[in-house]
Amino acid sequence: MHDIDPGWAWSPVEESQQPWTRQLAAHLYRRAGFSATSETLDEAANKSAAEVVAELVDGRTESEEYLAQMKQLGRTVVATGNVENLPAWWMYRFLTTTDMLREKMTLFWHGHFATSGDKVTDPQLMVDQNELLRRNSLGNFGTLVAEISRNPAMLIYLDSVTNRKAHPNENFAREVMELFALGEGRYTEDDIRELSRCFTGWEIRNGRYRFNRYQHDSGRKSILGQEGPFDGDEGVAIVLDQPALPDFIIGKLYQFFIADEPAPPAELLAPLTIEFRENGLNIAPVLKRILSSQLFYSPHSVARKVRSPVEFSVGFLRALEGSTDQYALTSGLSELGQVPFFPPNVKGWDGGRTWINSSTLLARSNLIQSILKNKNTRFSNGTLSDLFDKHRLNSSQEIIDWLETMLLAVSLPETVRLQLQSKIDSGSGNREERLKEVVHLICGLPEYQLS
Amino acid sequence: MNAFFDSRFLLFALTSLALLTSPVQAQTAIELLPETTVIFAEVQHPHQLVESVLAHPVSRKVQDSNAYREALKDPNAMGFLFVVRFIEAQIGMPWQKAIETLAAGGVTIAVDSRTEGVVALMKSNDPEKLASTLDKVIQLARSDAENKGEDDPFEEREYRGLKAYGKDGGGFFVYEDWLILVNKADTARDIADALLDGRETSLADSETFQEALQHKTSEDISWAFVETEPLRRGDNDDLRKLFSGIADNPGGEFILGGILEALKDAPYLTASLSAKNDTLTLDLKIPFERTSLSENREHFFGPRGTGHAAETQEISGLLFSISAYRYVSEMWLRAGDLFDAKANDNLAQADSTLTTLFSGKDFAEDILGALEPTFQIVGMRQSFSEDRPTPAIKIPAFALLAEMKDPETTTREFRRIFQSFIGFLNIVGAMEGQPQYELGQLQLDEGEIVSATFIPEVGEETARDAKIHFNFSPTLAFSGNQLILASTTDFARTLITSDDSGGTEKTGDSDQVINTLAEVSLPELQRVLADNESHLIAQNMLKEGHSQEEAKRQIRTLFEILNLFEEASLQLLTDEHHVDLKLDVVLQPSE
Amino acid sequence: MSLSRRRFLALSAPAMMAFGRSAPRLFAQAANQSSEKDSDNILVVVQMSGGNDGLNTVIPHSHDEYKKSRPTLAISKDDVFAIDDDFGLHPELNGFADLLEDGRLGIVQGVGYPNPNRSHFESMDIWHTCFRKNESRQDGWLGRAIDQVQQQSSLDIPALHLGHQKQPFALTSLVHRVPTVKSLDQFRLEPLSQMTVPELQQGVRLERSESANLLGFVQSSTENALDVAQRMLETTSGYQPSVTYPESPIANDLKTIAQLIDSEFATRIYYVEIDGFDTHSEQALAHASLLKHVSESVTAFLNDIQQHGHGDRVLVTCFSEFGRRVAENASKGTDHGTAAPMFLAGNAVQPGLIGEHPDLTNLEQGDLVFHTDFREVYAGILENWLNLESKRVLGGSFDPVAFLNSSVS
Repeated sequence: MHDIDPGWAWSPVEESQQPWTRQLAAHLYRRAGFSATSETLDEAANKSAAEVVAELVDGRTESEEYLAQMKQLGRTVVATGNVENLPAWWMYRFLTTTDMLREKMTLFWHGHFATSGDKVTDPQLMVDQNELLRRNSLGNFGTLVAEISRNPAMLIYLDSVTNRKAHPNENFAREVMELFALGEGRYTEDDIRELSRCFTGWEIRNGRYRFNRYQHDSGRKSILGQEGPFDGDEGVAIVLDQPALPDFIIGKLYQFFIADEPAPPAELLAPLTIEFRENGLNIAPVLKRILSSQLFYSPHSVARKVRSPVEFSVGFLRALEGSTDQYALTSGLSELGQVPFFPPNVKGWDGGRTWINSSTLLARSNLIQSILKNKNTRFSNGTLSDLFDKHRLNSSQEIIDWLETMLLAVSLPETVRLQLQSKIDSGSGNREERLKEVVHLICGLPEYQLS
Repeated sequence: MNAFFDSRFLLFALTSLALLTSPVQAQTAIELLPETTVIFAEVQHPHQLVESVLAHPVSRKVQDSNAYREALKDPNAMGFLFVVRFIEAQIGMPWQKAIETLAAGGVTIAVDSRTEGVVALMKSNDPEKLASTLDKVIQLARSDAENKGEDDPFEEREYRGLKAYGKDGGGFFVYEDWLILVNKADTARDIADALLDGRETSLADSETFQEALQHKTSEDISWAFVETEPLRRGDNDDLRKLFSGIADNPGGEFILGGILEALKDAPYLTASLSAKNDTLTLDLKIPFERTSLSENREHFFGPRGTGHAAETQEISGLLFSISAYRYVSEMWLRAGDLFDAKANDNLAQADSTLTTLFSGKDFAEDILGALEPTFQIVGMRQSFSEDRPTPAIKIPAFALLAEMKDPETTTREFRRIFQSFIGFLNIVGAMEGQPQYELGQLQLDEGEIVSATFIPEVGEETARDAKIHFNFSPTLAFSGNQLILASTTDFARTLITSDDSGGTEKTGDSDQVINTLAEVSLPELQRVLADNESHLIAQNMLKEGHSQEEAKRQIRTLFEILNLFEEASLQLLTDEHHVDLKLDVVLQPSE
Repeated sequence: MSLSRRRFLALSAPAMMAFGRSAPRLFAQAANQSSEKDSDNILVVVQMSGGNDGLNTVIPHSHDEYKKSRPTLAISKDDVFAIDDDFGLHPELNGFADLLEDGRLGIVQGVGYPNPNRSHFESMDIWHTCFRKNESRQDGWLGRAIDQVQQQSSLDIPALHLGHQKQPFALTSLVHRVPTVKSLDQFRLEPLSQMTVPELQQGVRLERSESANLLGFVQSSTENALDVAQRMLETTSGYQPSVTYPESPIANDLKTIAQLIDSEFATRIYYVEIDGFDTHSEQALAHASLLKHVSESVTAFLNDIQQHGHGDRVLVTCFSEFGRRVAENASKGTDHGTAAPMFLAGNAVQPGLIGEHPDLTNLEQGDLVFHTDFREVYAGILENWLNLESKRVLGGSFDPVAFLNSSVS
């Protein structure tokens, strides 16, 4: 890993070295989205990698009508007053959005600025925060932090609804440094104390942010080597200015898009951190560079990530043009270890190997089983047989080939392929039952756990 | 050809077969069935049933509806229709015609306790047609199975010269004008023997059955009989529990206690389905000696079974109303005899919580005990005024109506308890950031109203998608000895000012007592749902994974179906010798 | 092929060795063979939510102040199970009384913490995290304990929460996820047909030609998972509780734990909850039934695992977020208070009362003054039972409460 040439790594992928195929397009959509349908892969394969990446990063393809529908869905869920109904709403959006990267980044920032409905309990505040994250998900990181600093759900989650001059609340200041911007060890306890003084007077009342100037400490502060009578925004600006910031954010993006492990050396990240700083902490250009890089399409990246539970379940349905009962889907998700709107702690989801233990692996297999059994599950509005017929897959070999491209980042061992083929040809039960079982088996194999 | 031979096909084919036949045979199903029959159900004149259904204006309305047209476009429905047409071609007449011509014999389904088998008997009046059609069906099924590479669906067996078709013990055979379907070989042999030799004793000789038969009337479209003793003694835990007479939990006791009491000793029960004008009636009768009612169930039926529901208030536009006799206070205090230790533990914990809520008053004695044993629960669709927040999800208003035993003293008590309860809610609500209640008091000619209204947040006084809380303005009202606890002030006012002299007491025979009466207006229900249409569509999208289009279509279909009905009501009645559970469904009147 | 790609291939071999196909440990046998002392001791935490009335649990029956403060709720000397001359157990605690007589129950008296908070949520959070609201509270005390356990020997599922409630904050770790399971069914592989399990096993066990780090890890973890499923199936079908458990959710949860322990599941910490202790009015019956549930269930559990031969490595502890006020209220109930007893049960426990009972005549705002800080009890559990270093877990040094009998330590 230390020997990867950073110049090579981040240069645009070249057709001559890495021919652009349906398989690579599937890799792109797994990482930058939640997997794509066969038609989308066909369309993508007819364009260049750069074009497809540009569409993902810059495209705003959700129609007005779709946005209105999502709003109405959100209102309905909020109207139930129960924050537990929110995940179903977001899952519906994951499954139906045409702006996949933006939705994926919204999920990324949700993990980064983790806030749990368990504590916030008001669904409207959670939806507002979700919209804030979506609006800024491909925008400017500085703006994102500035907005999240005043976000009611965030401050409620961090026990920071009051912050008085006499007793500055250090929670939020600590998270800004440790979890949002710099990472552990890049600041001192004094820096936290001083930064928390900047946020005094920031309050949440009745679900709204307000500045209480009587409680603001306007004295001089000394933060990360700078001195002055800073207010909250100025305090945040100082933190955002730290050289450690791009390292921290780019490092997280690397883990999210390229590979779970091993951790990349600083030299490898350097070209990206420099670019991130130079473009004023804009997120989209960096993503574009990552997603069209040599490294992204190399074996350093392909199949080097464990699918998150959301990627696992949404990816399954999107690749197979599926739809199902979102409530059943989300109630199954908690056993896999990830429920959107309910991160387990302030650090969000760690990802990588932490997704995997025997309890979550059994839950993964059982979730697919329950989706396949659910009477509301449809594939391309019909059965699996209908789906395969639609794609003109006749022989068992064609079906397995197709499923491999659609679902897997690594190919199956030959023996397994043969085992699955013979199951389709001569297993017990009717054809639909056999197909369901084959799909269930594939999703239980180690290969499907990787992205 | 392929997907033909599924269950629908077989069902249809066999039903049609059953109905093709000749009147010569004198034997009836009752004479054919063994005395050990425990469940007996029959449709005497299937053709009349089909005829009247098809002739009814509602079925024309159904066929004209969008929902029906949409349903026909469904690939499953199209496949089904295709199969129906195919069979019609094979037997040479449309299915309505087939049933109509073949109706004479009736259809009977029975369960025999000795052989533990289920048998369906159908009598036709044209043995030749029956035999030839049967051959055709068998032939078709076999060729379809062959095409699919599946095994022969019917094995052929012979028993005393009768040829039976089937698998795993189950199957069917024809004898003269009878078509017999069974699920067990033993049962099949027993029926075959009866057909060939006759029976020494049959169901017709059962005294219990003969007694039950007296409840059958010529108006019954369908009539059924269940002998309870074998079920009571059987291995099925659920059935044993049903006949044990014990509910085990207060909710079950409250709703079903009286029925369980009757089931405990009843030797049989009967059910009938009948139709009159636009009303369909399902009537379940259980023999029950009202005068020898056990003390433990007096809270349900009143002393000597005389407790009857209060007259229902006539208010136009009610969504539903329930009126019943239940002495809950007595039930609560008798809990030790009625429920097991676990339920009593739970009741003790509930008592602790409820007593806290009711400012230290003992819930069972002081609160429930202050009320007469009759009560009503009514519900009504809400309309929301422009100058108040309108909730995004609109829930109907509902109210509990009860009579106070001693209004002089209890009015004050209840008023105070209500006020402190609202105060308590405000404190809890404040901790959780919920809207706060404002207490109000109003004197009317008819009585007094104590209301609690949510105070909207500044800027949200006329919000159109307010929190669900704004469906509620809990209100307590007093009028004479009547106590009303309503979910909204408006509804309480409507109830208190309505003229309740026009109440009607529905009674049947003179000694019949209505214990419980529940009614629901389906047009009102449809209106309540329509108020929430966009939310129902959204929920449908999330629940079924539908697109908005599909969800819309489903919800509209639901509305159309509801529009076919006028009202449904459920009554629990007793007379000297029976408990009677009666469900009436009233269709929209025919034009 | 470019130079860098070739370099990559050369690199993957050593990287592979670094991670290998190692998977976390599922079952306890391996630990039994290792020399690490007591490394498979098990802790079962029973949370009694709502604030248990300590004074009517471990009862100072003859104390004048007690009788005076509890005109309707006081329980007389004749009704209690005597612990010593001054104290007795609530009449429904027969299970605990048996354990005590058997030498398997320790009672730490007057457990609490300074500046007590009387809100359910806040006080519970304090017990769960060991920190106050204005301090940074990212994880729970057991979560931090798990982090240490995992450093010593990586376990597949180091801790497990049983029940339908949301996972307690105490189990939150920043690094490790603790599963919450409602029943053992969650460790079953749900098949679409009876062929699924053997076919999946066959497919998973095949050698992968390119066994890259992550794939190898997932593969061996999946094999593990299938083993667990298999084992659970055998366990649940073959397990015969040697005692009759009472019928209640908490008894079911504890029975499940007994099954898991008996199948040598290498989990160190189990957590269960029972709610309903917030007895503001008509306390007597409700409280009695709750205590009965806890005591009968815990006793059945301990007897069960004892007879299955695991008695020596299991410790149960029962706590509540606070006790209740000394004086009863006008609704024959009690309101939120402070210090209360904590129970420790198991073969290794030194039986009887531990620490001092708070002085009934020296109250603070009508409440008992705690005698033992709950973090001292935690320290005892961490240091002496789980063999973990307590300072990092508790965020400070606390004197471990000595509750183990000398023959064990």
